[in-house]
Amino acid sequence: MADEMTADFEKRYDGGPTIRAALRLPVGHSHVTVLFGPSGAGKTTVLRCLAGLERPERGRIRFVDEPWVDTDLGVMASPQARGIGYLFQDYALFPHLTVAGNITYAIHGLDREEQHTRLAEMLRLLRLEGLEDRRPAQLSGGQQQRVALARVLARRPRLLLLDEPLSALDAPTREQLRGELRSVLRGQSMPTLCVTHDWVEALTLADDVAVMAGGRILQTGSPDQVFSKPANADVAAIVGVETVILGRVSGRQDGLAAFDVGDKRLWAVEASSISAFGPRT
Amino acid sequence: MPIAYWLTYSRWRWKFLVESVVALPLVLPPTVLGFYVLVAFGPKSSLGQGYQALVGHPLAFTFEGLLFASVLYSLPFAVQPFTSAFGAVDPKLVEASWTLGISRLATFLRVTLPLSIAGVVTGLVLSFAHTMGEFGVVLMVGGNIPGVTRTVSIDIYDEVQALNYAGAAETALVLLIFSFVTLSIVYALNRRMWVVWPTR
Repeated sequence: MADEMTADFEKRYDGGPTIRAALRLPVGHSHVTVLFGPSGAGKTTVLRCLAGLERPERGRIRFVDEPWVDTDLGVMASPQARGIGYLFQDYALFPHLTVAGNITYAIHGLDREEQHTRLAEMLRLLRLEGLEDRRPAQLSGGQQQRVALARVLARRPRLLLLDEPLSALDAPTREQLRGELRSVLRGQSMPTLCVTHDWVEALTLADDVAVMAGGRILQTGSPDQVFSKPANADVAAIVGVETVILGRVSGRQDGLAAFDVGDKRLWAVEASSISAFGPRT
Repeated sequence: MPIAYWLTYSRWRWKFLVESVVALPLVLPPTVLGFYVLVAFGPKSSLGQGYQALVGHPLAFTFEGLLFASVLYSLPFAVQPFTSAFGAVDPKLVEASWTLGISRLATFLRVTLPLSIAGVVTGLVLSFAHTMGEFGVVLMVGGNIPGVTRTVSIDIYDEVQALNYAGAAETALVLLIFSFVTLSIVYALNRRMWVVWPTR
């Protein structure tokens, strides 16, 4: 069996919906899973349960052969013990520390030389050279985002959890950072679970997409599968397919499929016959 | 500080009882608190007996006894500013530190404490100043033993009783100036809030 992280748990809030999540993430190499869905779907709760910031009422979370949560056995690993990197939506940079202080915060235990090497590496990777002595309040939104990412990557986590990493930014910065974030994540050797409600972000970053709504994961698959073949009308509505018509496939020929809808026949290009896909076609 | 930390982060449903106990000295007449502390220190109580067996002399009417009573009496003046300062630190910063692998204690020392330093200094200064000026508890628990448990405020009372108004005025002025300077420091540190009575 390949190394993977598995999670299957339930989290209840007083007066709120029950959040149920079942996920599998491949471990040990770069792989980005995007948890995609509208606001209030329970995405952040899933992330917080994986991070150890919330305690699920029922279920199991296992990282390779390490149990993080097992409610039957009373196992609940602390956030400190999980070796994760968690990027908060508003970055949660320490306002009393400089950029360098924030980045080296979690690697205090390493010797001075190693700390310097890692700091220099992170400053270079995230293009923060020259900003070492600034405080978070003196940085732009995009710079803050990069410092927060540098801070979590500096300690080389085993799993990266990103909560709406680009949502606090203005549109042009978001556009620019999206590509950067993708290349940074591709260069890491750890899996990432990224929460977003922005389908462009999901398409740009994802190797796999899990669509979530109403506290449930409705469909999991490659962006191609999820965005061009939504499993049901709910997923279609969430991923932005605007028109849903129920029909019956009556025939296939030369990469075209014929649908009978009422007394009309429609022709559609089969997704498997095209290499690129368009989410809204 | 541990009490303030616990009060800030505990979700225990009966927490308000502990909050009330800590705040009691704010509303109780000092003589009431002093009376209970004196009874608790006395030779008939287990605390008094235990202390005597351990140290060899009773707790009441000693400097140590006075110190203990003063800590109790000034507790809300330290705990309330500490609690409101800790509570004002964004919980996300604390969580961020935890997810970065930093222990709860180290997170408190490296994030919570530096970010609530104004409230902590306020608590320290206020409780110190309040202890300087206390009267009733000191008289009940400490007695009035020159060189051991006679405090500035009791000294003023003694001087007035002895009709030595000049001596009383001198000491009173020192206490007045000290209190003013102390409060000025507190308000200079916290320009935007009403710190002597922190709202939570």
